[in-house]
Amino acid sequence: MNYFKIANRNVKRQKRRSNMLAISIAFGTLIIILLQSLTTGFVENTQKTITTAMGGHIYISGDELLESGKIVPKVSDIDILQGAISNVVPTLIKDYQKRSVVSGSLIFHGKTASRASVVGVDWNHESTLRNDLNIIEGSLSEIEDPQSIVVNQDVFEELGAGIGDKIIFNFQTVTGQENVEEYTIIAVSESKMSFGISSSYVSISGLNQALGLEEDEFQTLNIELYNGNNIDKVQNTIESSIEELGGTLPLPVSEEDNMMSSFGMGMFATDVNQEWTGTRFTVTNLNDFLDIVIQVINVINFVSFVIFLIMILITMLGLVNTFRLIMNERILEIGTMRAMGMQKKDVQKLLNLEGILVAVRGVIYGIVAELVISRIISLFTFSEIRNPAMQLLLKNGHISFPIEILYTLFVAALVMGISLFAVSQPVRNALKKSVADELR
Amino acid sequence: MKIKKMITIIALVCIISSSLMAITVNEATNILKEIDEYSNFEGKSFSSTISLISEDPEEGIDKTVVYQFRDDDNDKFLMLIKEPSIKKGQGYLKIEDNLWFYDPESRKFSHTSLSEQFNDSDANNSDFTASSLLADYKVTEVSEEMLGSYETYVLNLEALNNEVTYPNQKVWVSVTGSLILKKEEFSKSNKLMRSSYYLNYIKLGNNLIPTKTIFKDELVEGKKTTITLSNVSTNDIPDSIFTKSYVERVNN
Repeated sequence: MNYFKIANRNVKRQKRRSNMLAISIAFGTLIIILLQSLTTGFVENTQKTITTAMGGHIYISGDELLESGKIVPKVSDIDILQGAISNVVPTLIKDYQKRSVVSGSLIFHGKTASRASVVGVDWNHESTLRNDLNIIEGSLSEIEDPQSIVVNQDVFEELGAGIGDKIIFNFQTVTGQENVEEYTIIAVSESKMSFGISSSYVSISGLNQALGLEEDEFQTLNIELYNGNNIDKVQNTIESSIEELGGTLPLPVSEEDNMMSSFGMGMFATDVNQEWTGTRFTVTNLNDFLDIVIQVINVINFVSFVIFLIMILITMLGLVNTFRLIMNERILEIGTMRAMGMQKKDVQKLLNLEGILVAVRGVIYGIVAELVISRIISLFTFSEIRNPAMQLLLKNGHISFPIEILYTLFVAALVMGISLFAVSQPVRNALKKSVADELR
Repeated sequence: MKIKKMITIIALVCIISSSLMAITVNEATNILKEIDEYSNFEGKSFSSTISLISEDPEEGIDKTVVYQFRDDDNDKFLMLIKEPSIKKGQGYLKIEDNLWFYDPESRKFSHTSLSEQFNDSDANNSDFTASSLLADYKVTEVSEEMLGSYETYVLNLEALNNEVTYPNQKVWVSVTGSLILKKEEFSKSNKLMRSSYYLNYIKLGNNLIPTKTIFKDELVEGKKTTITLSNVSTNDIPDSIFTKSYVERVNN
């Protein structure tokens, strides 16, 4: 017997009822997939923004202790660092970038953008950043000129400057001396959050000279991995290798200092008790910056999981009730089928198949609706919202909804399983009756 | 021939008279020592009330009143902000090489440095400590110049280490009294960053302290801060003032 054909015909026969059932399943599926896709997009975009802004997954910075007791942020024990990196399995590391960073005031005709962060970049090496900057005005053709600067949109608008204008950057050298550099604006990049400060970019060689660093020195080395899951493994290898090679790492931070440092207060807390020669290396990673974001995402995930459960429950209850009504309506039909010689299990198989067909239809509707709605939402631009946390979650000013095929299949299977479970109970109850009762 | 002789004589007179009037680099170094001694309160404390009026073309005019306490013997100072009310209780505490900023709102101390601006004004934290020109700079050039109606020595100074705020300075010092009347401070790239004008001084024993100073930002036109000292005193200040616990509880 062709169960599928009969089941399909039965489903089609009750178009309105089948569609209503499918729509209720579709709604549940839609909400579940949409929320998951949204939170996945938030996490991916945050990771991407931070990885781009920081130039990788693992960040190694250096400090040197001067005779006067002053701590200077720079890496000059390059041999130790290179030795430590060479101890990492080469297939794990995709690339690494050397950068120098300084905060100061950008000034243009009396207008000041204070607390501006300027990042020195080796443009010959950093092709990823060049591609990810999202230039909205000007071009990067003269980016390797030491006097060229790519300013971010916020600074550009605050200063009221134009492409080709010369701006002054006032900052302090690594030893605390006042310094001033003049740069020409060659391009404007879309503002992206970089830990509360939007960054502008210049050539590292010029910035190093202005900061009082040697040409081959730098302040941070950022390592990009092929797979973000290897962050802890690579970080541990680098830290242990630095120690083996005679380098210095910071003293372990106490719980209290750790709390202070999370508010930006305790960065010198451990220095009081530590003396060292050469470079003291501090190794941090993407997850240290993602902690707060991940906490927010976890809350969203928890809320979406609760919504998921509620939706599943509602869908299941709806299906159970609807199928109970359907079974009552079709009791005569069931009795006729059994009177014509169909076994209980055959009837059950047929009715279950009808339930699955409705569920499949619902899941397909849900997935299609999710794709349509997510595409429509992602068309809206939120670039006007200058909230740094919001910009961190967006992809070029848009909410993104990455498609997770495995998760979608899992949800589809789960919804169909639940539909089958919801259908089987009323069917079983209907089949408990005798044929005579069913035909009465 | 006669004209040639005249010119030679005039030139010789000028050279001789100028060499008689000008001072040597060594003598100029002694002036730095004198300036440092005037500002250093050895063996006594110093306290005052400071009024800072900051004028910014973008931000407008902002007035801050600060209580200043100094113990130069032990390299300590405390600056407690009294006004405006929104910043009341914020403080800068320096003990030897450490300078902390205290924020009563978060109840946290954070490290800062002498080269940072004081409370977003055009004054630096180092402007409120004893002068250390002799230890930090060497005189590279000396000349004489009239500054208004004052005869001054103009000293070009170059930093002896790379940790001072300004690598180069040009200082106008009065010929009589060795008082700084004007200062120009230059960045590492030799750009003029700040001009300071010392308008009034007060004598406290052997010390001479500027009571009115104008710091003019040379990078942002129209931006300046006027500092006025009042209630100056050399009365003893208890050691307990220069502690974190005092800064924390002073508002309560």
